[in-house]
Amino acid sequence: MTSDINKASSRQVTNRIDVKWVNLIPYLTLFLLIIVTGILQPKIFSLNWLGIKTDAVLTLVLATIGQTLVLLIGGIDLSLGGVISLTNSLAATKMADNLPSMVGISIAILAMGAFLGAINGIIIVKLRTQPFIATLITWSIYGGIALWVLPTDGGNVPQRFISSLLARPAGIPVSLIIIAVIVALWLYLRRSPFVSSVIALGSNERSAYLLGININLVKIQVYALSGFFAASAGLYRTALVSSGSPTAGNGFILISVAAAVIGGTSLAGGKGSIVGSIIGAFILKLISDLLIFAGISSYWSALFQGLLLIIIIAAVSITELVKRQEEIKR
Amino acid sequence: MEKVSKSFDDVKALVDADFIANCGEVHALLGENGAGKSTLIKILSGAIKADSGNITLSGKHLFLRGPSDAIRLGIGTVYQELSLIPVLTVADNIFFGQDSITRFGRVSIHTLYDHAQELFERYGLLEDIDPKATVGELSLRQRQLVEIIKVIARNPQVLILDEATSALTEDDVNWLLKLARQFADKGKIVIYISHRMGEVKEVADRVTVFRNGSNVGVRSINETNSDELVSLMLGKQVSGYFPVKHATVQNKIALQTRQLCLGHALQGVNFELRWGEVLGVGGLAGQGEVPLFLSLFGIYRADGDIFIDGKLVKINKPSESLRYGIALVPEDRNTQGLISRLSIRENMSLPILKRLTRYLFVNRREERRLVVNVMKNLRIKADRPDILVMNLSGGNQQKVVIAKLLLTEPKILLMFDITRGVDVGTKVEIFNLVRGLAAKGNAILYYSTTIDELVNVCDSVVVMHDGRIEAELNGPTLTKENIIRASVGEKVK
Amino acid sequence: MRNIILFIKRNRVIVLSYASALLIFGVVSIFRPGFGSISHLRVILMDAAVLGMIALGQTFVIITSGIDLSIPWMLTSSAIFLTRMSAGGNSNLFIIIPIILLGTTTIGLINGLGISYLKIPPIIMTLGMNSILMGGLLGITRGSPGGAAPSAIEHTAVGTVGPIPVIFLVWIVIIAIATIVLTYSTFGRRLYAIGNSETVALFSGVNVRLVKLIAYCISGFTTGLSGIFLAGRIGQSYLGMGDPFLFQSVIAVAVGGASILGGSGHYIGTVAGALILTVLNGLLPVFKMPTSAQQIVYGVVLLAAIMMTRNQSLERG
Repeated sequence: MTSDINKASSRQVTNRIDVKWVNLIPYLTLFLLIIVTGILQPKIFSLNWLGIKTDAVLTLVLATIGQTLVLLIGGIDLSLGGVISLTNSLAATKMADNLPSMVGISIAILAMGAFLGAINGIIIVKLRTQPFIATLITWSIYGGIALWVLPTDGGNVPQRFISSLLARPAGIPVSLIIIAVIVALWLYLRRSPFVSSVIALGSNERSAYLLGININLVKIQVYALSGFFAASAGLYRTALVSSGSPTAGNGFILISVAAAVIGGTSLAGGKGSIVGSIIGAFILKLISDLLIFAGISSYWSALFQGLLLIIIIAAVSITELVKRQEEIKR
Repeated sequence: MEKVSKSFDDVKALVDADFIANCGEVHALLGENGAGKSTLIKILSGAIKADSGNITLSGKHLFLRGPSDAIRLGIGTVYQELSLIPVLTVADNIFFGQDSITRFGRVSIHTLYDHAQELFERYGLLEDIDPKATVGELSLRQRQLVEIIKVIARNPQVLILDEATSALTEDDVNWLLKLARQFADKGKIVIYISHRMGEVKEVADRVTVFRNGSNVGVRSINETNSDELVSLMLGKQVSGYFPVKHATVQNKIALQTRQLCLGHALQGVNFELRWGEVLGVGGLAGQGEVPLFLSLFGIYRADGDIFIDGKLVKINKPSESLRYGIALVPEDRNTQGLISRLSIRENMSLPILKRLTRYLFVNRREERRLVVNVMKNLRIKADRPDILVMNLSGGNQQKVVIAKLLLTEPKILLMFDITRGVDVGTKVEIFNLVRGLAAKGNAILYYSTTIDELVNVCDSVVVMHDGRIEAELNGPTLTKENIIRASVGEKVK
Repeated sequence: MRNIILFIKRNRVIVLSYASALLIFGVVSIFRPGFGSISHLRVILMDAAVLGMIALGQTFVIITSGIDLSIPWMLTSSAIFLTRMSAGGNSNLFIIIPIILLGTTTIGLINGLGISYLKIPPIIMTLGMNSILMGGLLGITRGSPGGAAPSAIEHTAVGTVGPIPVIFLVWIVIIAIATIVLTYSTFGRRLYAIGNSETVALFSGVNVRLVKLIAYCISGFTTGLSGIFLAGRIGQSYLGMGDPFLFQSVIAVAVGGASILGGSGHYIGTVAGALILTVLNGLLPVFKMPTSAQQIVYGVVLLAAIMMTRNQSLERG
C-alpha cells in the first residue's frame, strides 16, 4: 500500500503534461513581458533602462536566491525578512564615510547573515523543528533586533557606498555584473557535489541518507547560505534607497517564494534553478511595472502578488496531482 | 584466500545475532518477513546503529557512524527499496559522490555519460539504458539495474544484495548471479538476500537462516536441501497452529468483480467471493494486490464493475464502502490503521462515529460499552480502553485494528497481510477469528505473503500476476507449489 | 486525586503556562504595585480576551496540522468594514455585523478549498490570501485611516459588569463552547484524528477534506468576530492593526501545548498562552523596554514552547 494516499482522494484527470515543456514557461513569460513593455515604452532597449531595472530588482533577486536554496531542500525561510531588515538597519547606522569602515562593515554583515542563517539550520536539526516554525522564531527575533538598532526609518548612509554599488563602470551597471557573476557561478557549480547533495536531499531524503550524504550538515549549510544572501540583499537595499528601515524585509518573504516558484522551483524540494529564480524575480518586477504603467496604483500590488502566487501554486499542485494519478496506474 | 569473519551481537529486532561470511564466497541470507535479515544488513551498511554487539572486517573492528562510513570502507549495498534520486540522471546517480571524477568541484557531463556507457558495456548489461535519462522516467526493472551497476562500479569489498532481483526478468537474474559469482571469485564477500530459493541454490556457497531475530543455522549449500532450509525458516510448528477448516462456504456470491481495471496496475480482475468463504489472494509483491484491495475499499477508483450480493454498486470513497458493509484491515497499522497517540477507545470509535453521534456529540457511554465488549471478545490485553495504543504490543495493536473494523459490523472483510509483525500466539488467535467469522457467514478476502497461511487458512486462493488473476486454486489444486508456480506465471499442476 | 495527577502529567505544558502567567504576574506585582491593581488586571483580562478570541481559529486550524496566516488582514478587513460601514453609529449594526462575518467566513472557505481540495500548502494559501486582502484593502481605502468604531461595540469591548470586563465574559462563553466542541463533539474527534494522521482518518471513513474545510471556515468566522471586538477595544480601525497578531496567535497556540504538527492541543491551552503573552506584553512598559524587545521576547517564548512540546512528544514516543 502506498503512503501517498493524497493522490487517491482527488479526481482522476486524464491528460498528461510533458515535463520538459514546463521548464520553458519562465523564459517564455519573460520574453513576452519584455515585448509588451517594449511596445508600451519604446525606451527600453538601452543599457540605461536595463540598469534601472537591475538596480531595482537586485534586492529581490538576492533574497530569492537564498529562498530558492532553502526550497530546494524542501524547507522555507521566513527569517530572511528579519535578516534583510536587520542588515539594512545596521548598514544604515554603523557605516562611516571611510573605505575601511564601508568594506569592513559590509564583510561583517555578510558573515553575520551566514551566521544568522546557520542558527535556523541548527534549530531545525538539533531541535527537530519544522522549518516554518524555526524561521518564524528567528524572523521575530531578528526583526526585533532590527527595531532596536533602528527604531524608525532613516539612518545615514555614506555617499560613496551608494555610488559604488549603483555605479556604471563602462556603462554596465554593477547590479548587472553581480547578476551575471551569480549566473556564471551557478552554471559552473550546478553539478558540483554540494549542489547535487542539496538536490538529492530535497528530492528524497531517505535515499540521500543511504548515499552517504550528511543530511544535517547540508541543511545547516543551506540555511547559512540563505542568510548570507539575505544579508547581501539588505546591504544592497541600503545603497538603493540610501536609508534603513527596520521592517524592510517583511515584504520580501512572500515575494521571494513567489519568484522562486515562478522560476520553476518546487515547494516540495528537489527541483529548481537559480537562473529560473532570477527570471522569476524579473517577471514579478516587470508585472508590477506594467501595473503601475496601466495606472493601477501601487496600493493594489499586494493583491496581485498574492493572487499570482496562489494561482501558480495551484497550477503546480494540480499538475502534481495529475502526475500522481498516473503513477498509481503504473 | 584470507579468512574474513564478521560477527554481530544484537537485541530487539536482532537478538544476539551472529553472522560470519568469508572472502571469496557468496553467502545467502534466508528468513521470513520480520526474521531480522533486513535489520542485520542495514546495520552492516551503516543505515542503522546496533544497540550492542560489534562488527569486524578482516580482523579490524568497524565503527560505522553512517552510510558514508560504510561506503568508504568498501561496503556496497543494493537496497531493496533502492537508493536512487529520481530527479537526477542515470549517470549522476551512478557516480554520485565519487571524487575521482570531479575536477575543481565541477563534474564534466560528457565524461560522465561516457563512463556510464563504459560501465554498462564492461558488465554486459542486457538492457540499453540511456545515461542521460532521469531515473524518474525509468521502469522499476531499469531502476533496479541502475542501482546494481551503481554499487558494483565502486568495486566494494563487501557486496550486499538485498532482494536485488525483485523486478528483474529471468535473463537479468542470470546475469546478476553470474556477476555475483565473478565478484566472489575475485576474493570479495557477497551477501545475497532473496526469497527465491531457486536463485539461492544456484549461486550461494553457504546459507545462513534467520528466524525471530537470531541465527538458527548455517549450512553449506551442497550439504542441505530446500526442505531443510524451509523448515529452519519456519521453525517447529506449534501444534494446532492452523485451525481446522470446517466447511463454511455457502453458495451465494457475496462480492464479485468484473473487468476491474486501473491503468497498468489492474488489468481486468475478475473473481467471485462467496458468503462464508475465506478467499486467499497470493502472488509476489507489486502484482496488483494493493490496488485491488484499495479499489474495493474506495481509496482508489477503478474502472469496471463491482457487485455486492448481485447488485451493482459504485464505491468512490471509504465511507461508501463501509456503508455497503465492506471493511478493510490495512497493511500498515502504524500509518494506516492506528493513531498511536490516541487511546484504544478513540481509535476504535473512529469509523463508527456517525452511529455514536447524538445531537452532534459523541455518546460516550455507548462508545465505552461497544469498545469494552469487543476488547473482551478479541481478548485484547489492556486494562482500560483509555490506554494509549502506542503502549500496546504489536500483536495487541493488530487486534485493535481488527476490532475497530469489526465494530463497523461489516459483512465483507478485506484483510491485508494481517499477521505481519505479530507474535505466534496472536497469529493463532487471528486465524481462529478469521475462520470463526467465515462460519458466521461473513465473506473474507485474505491477502498474505506467507504461503503456508494461504494454504491452511483459506478455502480457495486466487493468485495475482501482472494485474490479473493468474490462477484459481482450491481443493486438490490448493498447494504451496501451485501458489508459487502461479506467482511467477507458470502453469499449475 | 490520582486523576488530577494524571491530568497534570499529561498536560504539563498547559499547567506550566498557567502557572507561569500567575507567577510572572505575582512577582511583578510585588515590585511594581500598580501592576497588580484591579484596573490593570482588568486591562490584562480585556487584552487577553481579544487575543484569545483571535487565537481560537488558529487553534482549530493548527490541530488539523495546518496554519492560518491570513488572520492579520482578516482582522483588519473586519475592523475597517465595521468602522466604515457603520460610520461610527449604532444603526444598521444588525445588518453590518452578519455581513462582515459572512465575508470572513467566506474567506476562510476559500482558504479551505485551496488547501483541502487543491492541495495548496497552508502556508502559501493563507499567506497569499493575507497579501490579497492587504492589497485589496489598501487599494479600496487608498491608505486613508479607517474611522471610529460604533459606540455600541466600544461599550461592549471596554465596558464592565461590576468589576469584570464584558468582553472577558464573552470570552468565557466562547471558551466553554470551544472546549465542549473539541472535547465532546464528533467534529472534534474527527479534527484530532485528521491532525494526527490523515491517512488513518481516510481509512476510517472520515471525510478528511470536508473537516479541514470546516476548520478554516471556523477560523474565518472567529477572526471576523475578533476583528469587531478589536475595533471596539481600540476604539477605531487602522491599516495594519492586525499585523502583530500573526505571531501572537501562533505563539499563544504553541505555548498552550499544541504541537505545530497537529493532532494535539486544546483551546484551554491557548487560553493560557494568551494570558502569558498578555502579561508579558504588560511587562515591557514596566521595565521600560522598547517595543523592539516585544518581538524578540515573542521569538524566545515560541522557542521555549517548541522545546517543551518537543520533549512531551518525544516522551510519548
